[in-house]
Amino acid sequence: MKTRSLVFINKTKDLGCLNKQLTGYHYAFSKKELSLLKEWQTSACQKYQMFDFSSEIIKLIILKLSMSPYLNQASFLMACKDFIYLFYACRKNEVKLIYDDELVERLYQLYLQNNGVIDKTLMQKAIKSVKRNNND
Amino acid sequence: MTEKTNRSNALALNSSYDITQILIRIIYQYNHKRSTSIAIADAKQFVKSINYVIAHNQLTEQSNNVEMLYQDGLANLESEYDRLQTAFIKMKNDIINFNNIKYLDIMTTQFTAFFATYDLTYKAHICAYDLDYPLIDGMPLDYNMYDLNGLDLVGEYFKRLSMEHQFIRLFSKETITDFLKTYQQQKLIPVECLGLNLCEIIVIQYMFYLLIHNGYGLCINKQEYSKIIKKIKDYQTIDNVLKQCQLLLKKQLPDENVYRYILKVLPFFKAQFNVAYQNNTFDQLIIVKKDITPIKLAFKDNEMLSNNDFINLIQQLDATPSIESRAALIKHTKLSMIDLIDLLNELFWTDDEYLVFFNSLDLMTIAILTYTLFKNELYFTKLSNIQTLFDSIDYDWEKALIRSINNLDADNLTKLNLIIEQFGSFC
Repeated sequence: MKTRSLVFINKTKDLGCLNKQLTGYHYAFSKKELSLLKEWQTSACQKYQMFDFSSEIIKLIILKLSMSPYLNQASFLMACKDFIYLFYACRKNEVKLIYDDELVERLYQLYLQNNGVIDKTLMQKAIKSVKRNNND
Repeated sequence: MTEKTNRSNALALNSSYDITQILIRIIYQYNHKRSTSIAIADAKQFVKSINYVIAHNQLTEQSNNVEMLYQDGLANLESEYDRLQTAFIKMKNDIINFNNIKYLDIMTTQFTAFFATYDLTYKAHICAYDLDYPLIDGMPLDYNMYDLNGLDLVGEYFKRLSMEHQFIRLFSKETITDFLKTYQQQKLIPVECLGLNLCEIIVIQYMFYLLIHNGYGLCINKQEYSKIIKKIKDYQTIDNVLKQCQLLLKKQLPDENVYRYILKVLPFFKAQFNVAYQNNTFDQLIIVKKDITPIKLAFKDNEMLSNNDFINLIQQLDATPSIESRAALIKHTKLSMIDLIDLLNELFWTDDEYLVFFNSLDLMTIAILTYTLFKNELYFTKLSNIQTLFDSIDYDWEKALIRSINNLDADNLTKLNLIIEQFGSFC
């Protein structure tokens, strides 16, 4: 069913103030890059059959990854992309809801443990950790 | 209803119609503000639910304020829900004594569960129950659930069911019970069986009844049956008979809506009537009460059947197809009480066959059997509570005997009690 209400709020406006927050970390995004991030969020949601009405999660991920010691301006954008996919993969697979910021923090810790590499192994570990946590 | 559905479609397609804010609020309510994301399947459900609620607004002015439309729809659905629930409780308290699996499921499980679980916020458009007790014109499924869903579907089904109740309640409880008993005996279909609509079988019988009677009754005996057949022939054509039946039915039904609803049976009735008329098989269509003379067994006191005679009797019984002929065979063979009990122990009849057999016995035979079997138990248990012994007995025929005693009316039960008490005082 394709009703208007299920189409994403495809505005990058709410990401506008992001660059100001990132100045301390020497990162900045162009308008094109911001809309790319938004597109990746949409495609990650489609891949994992999720619906997100806000771009808040992109902001959370970028701010978290800006603290990473493994990234520079060149690799930062693609890392954000991979992390967005990682986030929605975990969201889909968890049974009980964890707060968004809590989940991002948990994924970030696993990312550090994996030496800053976002790959299949990290994804499997992350999904497992979310599921295991639910069984506790 | 159709108006509402059209309005719902129009709203869903309208490009100026934006339910995002309501959707966001509902998502936050659903996940306790833990996340901005949710499974797309859930989101789609919410959108359908919101559209359904908005379609139920009754605001007369054209309003573009979606929140207002939503709140008004919500209030209307809530009041409709309350109205239906109250009406259902009233109907449930006046449930018809119709021991049909699907009817009882609707009345005791499906409606109750629907009212307990109906969710206006997340799933207002969903009715998770089959509503599978067929109505006079078939099941909702045959009509694509009337193109309705959620509370509308339940409301429509309930409206139809309550009209059927209203019609059935025109007849006394005894009339219905008596009719069902005769129906089972003639058609050899237990009313427990699936796919039977009570209203349908009653209205067909009632139309024949009205050809020779006034008032609300269903019992037709052999003489009345002949009169009905004569009357049908007098009308000459099938259409004349059907018209007459309709006229008579209209006179008897006070409520115009109920009358119109009951007429839904006409196509089905006409088809059955055609077949009966052409083949002269009205005895299949009209339920005729037989004059049953109870079978009185002639017991011998001391003499038992020889082994060979006993085996012969069992073989003969196995070869006899109908339960009535088997009962007659037992009647004509002179048995002692021990023979009868041995025989019942040896037979492999179904519960219903045993029941028909015991129903055809006279009270004295039932009393002798009951006293022989439950002599000791009856010191402590009243005959009216004999069902309490049900779990402690092994043989199916003994259980059937208890069921047949339970089915006795108050008069016969008192008589049976008296006979058994007299046996007690002799011993």
